[in-house]
Amino acid sequence: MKSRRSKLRIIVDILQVIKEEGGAKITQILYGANLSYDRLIKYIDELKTLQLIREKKVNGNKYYLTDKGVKFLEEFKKIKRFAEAFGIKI
Amino acid sequence: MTTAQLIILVYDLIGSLIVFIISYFSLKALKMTRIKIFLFIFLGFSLMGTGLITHAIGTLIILISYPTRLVVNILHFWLNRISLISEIASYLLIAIGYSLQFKGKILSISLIFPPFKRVRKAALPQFITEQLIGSFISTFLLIYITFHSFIVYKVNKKRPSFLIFTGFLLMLVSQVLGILSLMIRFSSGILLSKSIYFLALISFLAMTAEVTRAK
Repeated sequence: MKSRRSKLRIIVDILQVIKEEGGAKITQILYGANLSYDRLIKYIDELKTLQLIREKKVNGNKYYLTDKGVKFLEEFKKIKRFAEAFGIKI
Repeated sequence: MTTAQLIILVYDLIGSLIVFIISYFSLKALKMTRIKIFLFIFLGFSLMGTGLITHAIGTLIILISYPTRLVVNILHFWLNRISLISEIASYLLIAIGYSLQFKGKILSISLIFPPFKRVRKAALPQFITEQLIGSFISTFLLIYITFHSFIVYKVNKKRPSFLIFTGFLLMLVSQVLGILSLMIRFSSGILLSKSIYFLALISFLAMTAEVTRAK
């Protein structure tokens, strides 16, 4: 249960960094989400499979949020507020 | 069809819609986070909505089948019983949800039952019906839930938490008023109790609107 939650938080952190940067390089995500390179690559692959982010090769690899990714982040914020209202920490 | 019956029917129908919205949102939260507490909140509010719908169907059947026949009365009796059980089960599930959340830090759910046992052991007046016993159980569960929702609000001081606390507090007031109305056979009290219950659901709706609005 706990690892599931932390996984969700990590995914949200990655998406948040990409959103704030308006597209982010792997190093930016690495620092922003505070993850090791290996773990980040695994998450990036998973997020690409889930179509929450997409990769663009312009001056090196950059990651951008897809519409699905933007929607996921918005949903998460709502769920977080809903959970907090009941005193549940995500 | 009396005005009071019609008002209660409308309350039940709109109320069930509100409750199912919260239930739907809890399901979304459960799917996204896999946190077990959401399962209890989802099941609790779903049962609450089922109870309201069942009660509404019961009222509707009575209203459209005038003059009432025996079979209609039996059906109405069973629908009311289902509604009552759903209500108790919904409060129990929500209370378990809060219990899991606090993990015995404040008050164990088992602590709320001894007072009820004492009530049952005491010589109850004969007019106390199944409905009344059910209301007593609901009241004890609601005291537990309201207390925990108040603690949540005291800790995070956020408006949605205040709206949840207000909702459960109003449900508790409605329940107590309902019991008093049954005991003293005060029929207008039932309508007042239902109106307060409806206000409680409005409070939950306001909470849902607040957390789901775009920021």
